[in-house]
Amino acid sequence: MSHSSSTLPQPATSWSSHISWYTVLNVTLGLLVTAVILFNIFQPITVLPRHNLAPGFALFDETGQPLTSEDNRGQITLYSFTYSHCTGEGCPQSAEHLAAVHRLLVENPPEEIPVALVTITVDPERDTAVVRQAFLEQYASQLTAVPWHFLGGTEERLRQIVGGGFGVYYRVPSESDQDKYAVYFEPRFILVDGLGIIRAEYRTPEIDPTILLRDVHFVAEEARRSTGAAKLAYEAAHLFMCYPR
Amino acid sequence: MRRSRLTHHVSKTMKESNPRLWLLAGGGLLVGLVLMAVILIVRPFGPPNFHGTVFQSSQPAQNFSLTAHTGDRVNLHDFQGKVVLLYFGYAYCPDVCPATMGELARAVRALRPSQQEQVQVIMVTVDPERDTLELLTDYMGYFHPTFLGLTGSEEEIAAAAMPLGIYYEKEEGTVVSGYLVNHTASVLVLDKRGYLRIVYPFDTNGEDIASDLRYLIRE
Repeated sequence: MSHSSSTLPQPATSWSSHISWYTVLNVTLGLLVTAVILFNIFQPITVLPRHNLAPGFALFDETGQPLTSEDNRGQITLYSFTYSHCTGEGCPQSAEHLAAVHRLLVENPPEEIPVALVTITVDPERDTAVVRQAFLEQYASQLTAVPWHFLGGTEERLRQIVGGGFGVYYRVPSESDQDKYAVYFEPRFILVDGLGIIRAEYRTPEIDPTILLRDVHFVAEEARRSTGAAKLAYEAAHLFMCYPR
Repeated sequence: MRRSRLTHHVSKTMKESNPRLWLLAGGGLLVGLVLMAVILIVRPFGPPNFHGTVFQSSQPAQNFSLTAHTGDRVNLHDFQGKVVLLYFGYAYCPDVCPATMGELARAVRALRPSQQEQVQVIMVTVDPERDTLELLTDYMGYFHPTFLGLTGSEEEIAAAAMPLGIYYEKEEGTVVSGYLVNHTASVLVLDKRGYLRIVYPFDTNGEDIASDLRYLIRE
């Protein structure tokens, strides 16, 4: 008992005398470094990288109305490329698959953020507005909250936008057999966010539905939640490359 | 005996509590000051808090070749070594362009002369038909003597704008003074290596741009 009463004031004096500038600095830096490392290891926020800007364009939709890259601002847009006469063995990407992707987006829309599917033709000669509309009527089964546009334009403009801007290689045979020719193109899906930034590219004839939905979800999450203090955390996630694996 | 020892102890701690409280308060203040100092010291070396959308480009922005208002032929890649602010607009633009160019001038003027030398503001016209070299020279002069106006053929300008996400299109016969050109109003920032780093939306403050530029200049 006497032992305890004599040592009672002891810890206070030793505690205060041990606190020095050096300790405080170390603890502060330690905490900062730990926070950074923990953020890096656990990656509490996952983002998709901001690769590059999607090309700016002005084309025409299936009703013949102009549609520009600015019209797609504020919504998540999945770009794809094909042509109406693309059928059978030689077709790099089936219309049925595009229809399945559209259905997937219709059935699993992201919260609050609008999403759209935009297909651009690589065969401007045959894919007139009427043909493109017929294509959509055949495959886009229902008019829904997720619009599906099929864009076309002049041959020159498409070469600039599809080939130059989106970097999708395609080749229309020069000596075409009247109405029966196949256009070669690299199947590609490009996910663009509401600010017009390319966030993901899928070089595949058939996109994996789980990966597509996951990525759309990440972009929508960021658009919805990246404000105020959370914006700092999202920017940190970009800085530390907290990308999905 | 025991009681007296206890009261003695309590009175002793009560007497001592005053300086200890001061010590605690002082310690708290000290910790606060040190934290502030650490933040102030570390901040310039830490990751920047840019005011626009930040990019992780994997390659330099696509080159283009246009004619400057001075009559010289220039490539985008000629400006590597400088931080480039790139804007697409036109001299007859009624509101958006002068406001943006004004903010860019404010941003540049907020920098020290040695920093200003490492920044190049470029406006590419989206209206080559009306924006002659003389008009571009005058227009750039309104804002800052170092600003550069670029023009070229329709194809050359389209080739420069499209890969940078810039859309533009003529809108015929809307006002008495002539046609308007609708265009994307973002400002693009390329770092000294020519990589796209930041995109500012319309109406970004000049001071905010200047603070981002200071970081990119130091890189």
